[in-house]
Amino acid sequence: MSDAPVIRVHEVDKAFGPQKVLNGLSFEVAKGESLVIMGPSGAGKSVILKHLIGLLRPDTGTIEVAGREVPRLRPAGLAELRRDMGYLFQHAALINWLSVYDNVALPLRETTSQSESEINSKVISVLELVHLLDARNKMPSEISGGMQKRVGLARTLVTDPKVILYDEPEAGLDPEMSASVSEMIVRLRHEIGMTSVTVTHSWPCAEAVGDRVAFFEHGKLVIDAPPADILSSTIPRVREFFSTPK
Amino acid sequence: MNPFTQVGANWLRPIIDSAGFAVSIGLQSLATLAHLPRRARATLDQMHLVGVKTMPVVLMVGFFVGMILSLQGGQQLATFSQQESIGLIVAPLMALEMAPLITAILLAASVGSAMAAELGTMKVQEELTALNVLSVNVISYLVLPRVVALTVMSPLLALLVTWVATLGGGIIAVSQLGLSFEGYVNNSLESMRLMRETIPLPKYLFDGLLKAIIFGFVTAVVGCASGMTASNGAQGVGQTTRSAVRNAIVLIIVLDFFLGKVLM
Repeated sequence: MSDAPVIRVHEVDKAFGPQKVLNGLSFEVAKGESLVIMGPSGAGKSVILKHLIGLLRPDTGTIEVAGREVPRLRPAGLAELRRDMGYLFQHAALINWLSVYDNVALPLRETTSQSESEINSKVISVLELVHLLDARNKMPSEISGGMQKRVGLARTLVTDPKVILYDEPEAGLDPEMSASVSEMIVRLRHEIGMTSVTVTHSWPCAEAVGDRVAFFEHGKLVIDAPPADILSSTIPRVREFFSTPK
Repeated sequence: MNPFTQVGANWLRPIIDSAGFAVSIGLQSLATLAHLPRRARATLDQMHLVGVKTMPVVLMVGFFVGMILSLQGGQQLATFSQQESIGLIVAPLMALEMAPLITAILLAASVGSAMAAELGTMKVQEELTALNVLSVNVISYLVLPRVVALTVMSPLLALLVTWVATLGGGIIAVSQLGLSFEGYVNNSLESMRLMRETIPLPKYLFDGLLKAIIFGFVTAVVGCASGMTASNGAQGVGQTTRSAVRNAIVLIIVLDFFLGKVLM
């Protein structure tokens, strides 16, 4: 693992109207590292993911991803950045009139000039990776929530991203399915060595996928430490939050 | 906050914002026209949805409007013993005014609302955001096929409405006003003899079709733009759909007046 930060967030502030969501937030993620972000609802966890991929712009502060200052990117630069990044949405966000196969093939068909046979081999390989080859002809409505998440993951992986952002990958799933998605993320990390940032409410998920866990509250970083150190933290708020069963 | 600022902030600003967004969506869809060959399949699907699926209801309404015009107009003309002139009224009125308007209003209520609901649902379920994140051009992928389909199918439907309405008018002319069908048809054809100077098409028909093209474009743009600004889950989608239909119908009627003045 190299020490050069792939993601660098420095003193970022963001407010929606009178409500301040991010408040002088700073953190870094090194290449190949997996950071998990936890915290109560409204702490700014998903908001920071949206900043990292350029869906939101900070009021102040800097955000760099792979050496590019995200808020300064113009649409073409943003599209280029997004080709290097993947984003797994809370509810997978699949296009409901496209089959599993076509959903995964979509970014390649729309943003590259690859031939249909090249696209086919790429799609088949990522569907194999997420164990969904047999479901390739099904529609999103015909598969379970966990499978939809895996299709979303396959669609994210098909463009070979260097960084993946996971927004509550376990949301809406039963514990067994949630564990299977976490396992998938860990496997991908070990097999592909990808840099990732995961927002989650689930401690088992955080423990499974994270090298470090960052705890946010009121848009501020309270602690950023390996999972084992989080549980032994002496900070009262951290102890209180993590003593509640998640 | 003084009352003027309050009116500006609460009432004018959202109207200007949404109008600006709709104009930008319309312009962006025109700018992506070169992508049309890639979107042929999606565009044909939308044309089938717009044209074929809405045709029965549009034609039925057109047929009855033609009969109503003929019946009411014929009765008024009969008081001056001029009922045989009804053929001179129904066909041009339908071609120029009623067919494009009826078609546009029905398309706004059925297809425009469906576009707003579909794109609105995609917006609240983060599918539009997902497409953005995947660097997919949302305008080219989702908006262009819908805009082209409605812009192309609207004048075709208006043409059919003109035809069935004139036919409906003829049935009433024969059955209620005691006219001959041949005389009614001859009058209808006579009324269409006035040609546009530069285009070999009857003036009323050409002007009506031009209006229908513009109304189709406006309905699609308003429907798509409204859908793309949906928020707050199912309730927000419902609200968006309602406002898409209302805004499209208001715009169509206002535009109809100004186009009528310009084309006169």
